[in-house]
Amino acid sequence: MSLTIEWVNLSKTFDSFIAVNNFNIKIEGAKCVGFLGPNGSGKTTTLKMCTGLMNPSAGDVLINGINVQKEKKKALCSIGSAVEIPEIYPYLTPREALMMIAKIRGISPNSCTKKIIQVLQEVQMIDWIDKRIGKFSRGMKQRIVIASALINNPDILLFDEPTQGLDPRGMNEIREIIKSLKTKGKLILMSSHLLDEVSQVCDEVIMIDHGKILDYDSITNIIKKFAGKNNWVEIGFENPLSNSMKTNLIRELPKLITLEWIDDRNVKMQYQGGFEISSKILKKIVEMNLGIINYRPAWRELEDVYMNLIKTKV
Amino acid sequence: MSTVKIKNGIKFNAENKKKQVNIIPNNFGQIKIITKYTLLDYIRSRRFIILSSLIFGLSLLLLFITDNMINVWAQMAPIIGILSSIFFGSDAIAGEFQNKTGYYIIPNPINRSSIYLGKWLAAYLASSLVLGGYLIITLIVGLINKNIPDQFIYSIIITWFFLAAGLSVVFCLSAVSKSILTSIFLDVILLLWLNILLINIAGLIPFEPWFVLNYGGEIIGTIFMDPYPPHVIVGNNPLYPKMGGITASIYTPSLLQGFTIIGLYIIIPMITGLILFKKKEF
Repeated sequence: MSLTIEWVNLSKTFDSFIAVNNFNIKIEGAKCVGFLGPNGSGKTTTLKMCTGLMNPSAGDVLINGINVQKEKKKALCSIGSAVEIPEIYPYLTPREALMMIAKIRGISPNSCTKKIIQVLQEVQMIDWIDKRIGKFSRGMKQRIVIASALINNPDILLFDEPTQGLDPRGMNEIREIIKSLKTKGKLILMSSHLLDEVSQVCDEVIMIDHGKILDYDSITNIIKKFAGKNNWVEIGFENPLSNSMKTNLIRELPKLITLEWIDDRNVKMQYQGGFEISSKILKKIVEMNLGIINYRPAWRELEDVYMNLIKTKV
Repeated sequence: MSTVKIKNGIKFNAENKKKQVNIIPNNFGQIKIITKYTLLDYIRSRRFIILSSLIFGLSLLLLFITDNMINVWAQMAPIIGILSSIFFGSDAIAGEFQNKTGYYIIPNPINRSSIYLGKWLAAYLASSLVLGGYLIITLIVGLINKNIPDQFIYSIIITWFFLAAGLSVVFCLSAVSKSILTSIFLDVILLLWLNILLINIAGLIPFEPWFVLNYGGEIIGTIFMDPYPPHVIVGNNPLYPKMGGITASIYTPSLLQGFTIIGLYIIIPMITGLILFKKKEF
């Protein structure tokens, strides 16, 4: 089955302000695509046009080949979305609010309750199933909205800053949900201004700024294409390192630029080069038998790329 | 041949059940869904309790003030109709924008017109419950005093017709407004102040206020009059006895005229509101 989101000459203007400037992209297949840009860059406006909340000034949005503006009902059948943080009718319970969406989406009455319980378990809100939504916090409402996006098991999911308003634990839980959805053969388009989040969750990234698409590619390719020469990695050791061990580390590691010791067991390292050098550094540390327990890119890469793109293309 | 069952406007047949394909309900089915859950939200709300208590309290007060609740019906019913329209309708569309409830429903496979009509029906039913409460008290008192005229049933029908017109106007103004406060302000100005002002000015200038909703709504009361009052009476205005020189005209709409005015107030704002809501950007 084809999974596609297509923007054809898509533009949106507000008086003289161009919020979205001639987007032409076809996102295809089961994957998670990050929609990355700073606040006010046009992410939400684009997602609103994808979900019928807003009409384009020019161009079209096609979902699985169906034009959202011309055949909204048909086009949105296969989409689940959470755009901004909507309010839900305050005197309804999650059970009722989700039942309403389930019925609108044509889920058979027999399987509605089962589905509702399933999605509420998924977003960890099952204990609140019969409580009034008006009393919920912003984060809890966000979870209900995500649950409503998942209710009919859609093939395509659009999330607009899905972790916004959540505490760190909640953010992590939502990211895990999105990661698990990736494995179920879905196409996910997720807007964010958090580079770290996009790096963790997404396979590909669309970078935008000031209503213009800067690039669309896999994260690895984008980093290869645009990253600066210097990258960062975080390393954790089982036991504190002595001063002599630290000196050895500086002496032995290739292409090292700087070492920032967080404490005696954790260090942030800047090196010159890409993945190959990173691999060599890891191999060397393992050989040195220092008890390495953590080796993680510090994701300065994507940030660097993004900053470079903004500087060069806008 | 597989059998097809329709429940809540949703078609199910054996093949669909096997494939677990979700068949999106038709527009009518979706309107029913929106109506059901919006009504549930309304009747649990604080405003429903407040308005119901207010009307109940007012009814009790009227019991002490007047012997004939049926006579008071003609004056009170339109006001209650307008008040409940404002209570349930003013935020119906503006609230979708301001409170962002629209973000929850609109990105679903449902036409905006179904949302609009579903919410309108829910507000109509909620207002009907409030107005119905007042009607029940009036009827009980009327039955005890044995003074319910034959025309009362027609007056009730016109009142519910008038309520629909009030709600259409309120929904249209709600679709125009970006904030709930603006919507309430416009409702109060247009339906409670300007309407009444125009009818009073019309008698002095004079002109027939055929374009005013409350003028059409006068048939709620005039239907009780026997013989039916003439279309226009010209004379000294009894409201200004000391200003003897001022003549005033009292216009009374015919039943057909009243129905036409109310009917147009249902249709025109309804269509306008629907178009505005369809074009509204979130």
